[in-house]
Amino acid sequence: MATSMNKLKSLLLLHGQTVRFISKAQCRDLLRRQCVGKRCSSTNVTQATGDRYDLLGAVCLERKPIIVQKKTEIEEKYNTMIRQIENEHSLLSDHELRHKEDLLYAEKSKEDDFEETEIDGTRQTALDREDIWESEAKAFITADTITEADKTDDRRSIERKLDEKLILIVKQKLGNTEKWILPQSSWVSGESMRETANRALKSSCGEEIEPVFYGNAPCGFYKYNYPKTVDKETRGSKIFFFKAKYKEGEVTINKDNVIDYLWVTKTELIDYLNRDYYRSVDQFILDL
Amino acid sequence: MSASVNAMFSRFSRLCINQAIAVRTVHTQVSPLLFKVSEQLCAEPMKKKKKVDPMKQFAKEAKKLKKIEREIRRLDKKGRILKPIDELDSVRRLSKELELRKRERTVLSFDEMENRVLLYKDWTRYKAQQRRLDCITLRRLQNSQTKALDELRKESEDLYQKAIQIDEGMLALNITGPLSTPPIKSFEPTDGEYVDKTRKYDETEIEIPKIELTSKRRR
Repeated sequence: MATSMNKLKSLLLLHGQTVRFISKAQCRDLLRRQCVGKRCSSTNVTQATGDRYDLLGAVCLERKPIIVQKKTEIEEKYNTMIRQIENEHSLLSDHELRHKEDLLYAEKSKEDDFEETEIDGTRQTALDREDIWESEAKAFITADTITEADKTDDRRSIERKLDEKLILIVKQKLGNTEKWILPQSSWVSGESMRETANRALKSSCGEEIEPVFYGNAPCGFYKYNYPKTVDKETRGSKIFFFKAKYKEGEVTINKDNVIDYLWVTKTELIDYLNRDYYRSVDQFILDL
Repeated sequence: MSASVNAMFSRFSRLCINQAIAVRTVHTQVSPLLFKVSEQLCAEPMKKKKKVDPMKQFAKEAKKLKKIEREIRRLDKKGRILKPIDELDSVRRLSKELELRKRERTVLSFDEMENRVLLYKDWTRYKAQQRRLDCITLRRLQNSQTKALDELRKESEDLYQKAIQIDEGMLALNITGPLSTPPIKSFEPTDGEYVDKTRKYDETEIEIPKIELTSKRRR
């Protein structure tokens, strides 16, 4: 440990840092990092230029479901049973008591010596109230769960498939081909990967769109090598995906780097994406 | 004759005015007693002193004391009044009506009971499967992220360090979950004023009237 400590001290001095007290764990970490750096530089020397990768940041923008999904058969069945049991164990409610009283009153009124008082005349029975409630509920019209976009199958609309999660994909020109991908852009030195992903979204889909990023860490990764025919300095691209929640704002695509955009569900995603690309993306997108 | 006259005089001697009687007078005052003819100044006529019945007076005092004591008792009581819990209140009400509210026991047929048990079992299986899938999904997500972070570290330690920072913006996370129906776009809420009818039970609400208890009690 003493020798490595000395080595570390010299390292730190080399980097222009003052030597301070550090824990053993920190010391180990620093040394390891130095080793990693060394290895990288040595491989770079041996393997010529084409070992580096372009770094890309991409965003997986999700519109969360707005309405609940339809219950499955077993969920529906279980729900009814639980309600039944709940009802069996419950005490009578005020409404039921009222109904009970109504029945008693009705029987009483059949008797010969029954005299109707003024209060009895204006009596509102439980069933009357039920009718009132029913008509009140009928008067309120809820919005349709199947929207206009669903009927026309307009996949550009964010109003479609309200009970499912939608993912924003864009059509971009990569090399000579046009491909459906998650919005991406290359990393510029000085920014973090998350900032790159954010920039990717804003530059391709407009400044209006408001995402909420889920943390600073990437949630997925995809690597691909450029075809041999392409003459480039780098060997391929490494894409780091960041998940974000759609908050508000309209998508207005930037015609310079994006051709088209769509809001698709996870099941539809496979129709658009490249097979390998889909496999990576599938890893971090929840089915819900 | 003269003797009898003398005797008579002696009898009347008591009535006699001119008889010289020796009187000794002692003055304690230095100045001689003089006649005063000038009016008395710097004074007013004396007030007529009210005559109060001592019994009445005592009763009055006792009444006052009683009143104060009553006030103290009231305050003591009020000080102990706690904020009522509405939920408990209804429980109390319901416990009184418990007999009235009893529901008739439903008698289940054998088939019905059997069906229920089977459904329970199905449900357990269904949920267990769901949970298993959830675990797989979570592991998948975790693996995906670990791989991404590892790759990022390979590329740049600096970017990796930036990625593992805690995102302060995530806290105070606000999620409005899926609802059963979508919002109505053209819906306009009816106008009205918002009146807060919630009763308040602040301590400041109980006003303690200012009574100088000590001075009154001492009396």
